[in-house]
Amino acid sequence: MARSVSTQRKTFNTVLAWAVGLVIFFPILWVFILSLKAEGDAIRTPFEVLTSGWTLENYTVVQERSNYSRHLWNSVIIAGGSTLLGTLIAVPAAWSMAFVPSKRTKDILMWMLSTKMLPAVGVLYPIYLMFIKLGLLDTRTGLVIVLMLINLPIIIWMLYTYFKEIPVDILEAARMDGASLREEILYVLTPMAIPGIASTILLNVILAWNEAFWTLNLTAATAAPLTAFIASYSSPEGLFYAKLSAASAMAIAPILVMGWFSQKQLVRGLTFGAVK
Amino acid sequence: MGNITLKNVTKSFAGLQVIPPLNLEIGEGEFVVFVGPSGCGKSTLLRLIAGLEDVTSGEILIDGQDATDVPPAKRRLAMVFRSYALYPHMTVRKNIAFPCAWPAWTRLRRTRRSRMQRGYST
Repeated sequence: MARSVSTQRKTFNTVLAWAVGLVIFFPILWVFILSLKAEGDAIRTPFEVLTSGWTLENYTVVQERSNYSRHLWNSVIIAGGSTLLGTLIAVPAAWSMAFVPSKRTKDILMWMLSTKMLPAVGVLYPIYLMFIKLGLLDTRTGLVIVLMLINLPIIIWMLYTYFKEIPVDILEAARMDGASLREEILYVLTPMAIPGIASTILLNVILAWNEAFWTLNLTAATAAPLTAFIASYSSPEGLFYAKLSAASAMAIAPILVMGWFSQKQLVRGLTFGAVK
Repeated sequence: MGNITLKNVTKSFAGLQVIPPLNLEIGEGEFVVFVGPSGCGKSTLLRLIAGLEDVTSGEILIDGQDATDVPPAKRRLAMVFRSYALYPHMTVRKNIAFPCAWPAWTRLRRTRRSRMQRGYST
């Protein structure tokens, strides 16, 4: 009897999980469907949308109107660059917080996290002015720096929780064995924390890829990544649902594929340290 | 080679004195054992000698030379830890080579490929 209950429960859980998953995935699916419809059909009722004919013309138009590959390249450089730079800074930072904590380490971690609560608009104006002065407006360099700074607290926090799991004994053993600080981090800590570092990097590439506020406000044309590419298909010229959907689908496709293949790492990375 | 002298060594953690002023002389080839209830400072003393903790006051001499502020790597001491005896991510060969002089380690990395073919790396 107990067994039959648990089977029922399992079925229920599976159905529930699929339902929730579908609800979350539905908007993306709908965007994809709309992108394959003619402009006139896309704004009809859902039923009419589904029964109307399919077409690839939106993708052709989007491709003609804007340079997808340039935006894609900008996105790759900005997301990859900011993550790489952030990781290089965060590894030593997280090392010191995890292994040589001081009285204020917890406070510093909290303070870093608090910067994430800050409404970005609040600092847009000063940062914009700084960008003008430094000539960083609409450059990839500028965006790499800003996105790196924005994601740094998350990178440090994630690495910190990972490093906490590594026994300090092993680092001390390395120290006894004659490894310098640099060698200790490079040959002992980093190899042991590779799963954690990998999932941190993955998550941050995704965060930087999806970052829209700063990329939209600090770029115009040359450094505009895919977020700006999507935005260029919205409001001012009227609503072009189908083309907007096509642009969106093209923008999220690379990161969706990446996320799909790395989901195991991501889930592990995000739940790591939380379960104890 | 091989004598260790502690002169008035003390260690405090946040005001709590764990090691009272301690004088100890360990001669060449001598076998010394620290015995005591848990929490009395046995490991702390070892860690002080190894250089993994800094002394609060006093001096540590190794071979007659002041090693109080010398980093653990430069003290030419060895220590076996309670739990972790191996680096889990390294091959047997690397584990053995790790404590060797660091130039040797870099050389090993360079020649790793050829050594691997000889089958040292399982």
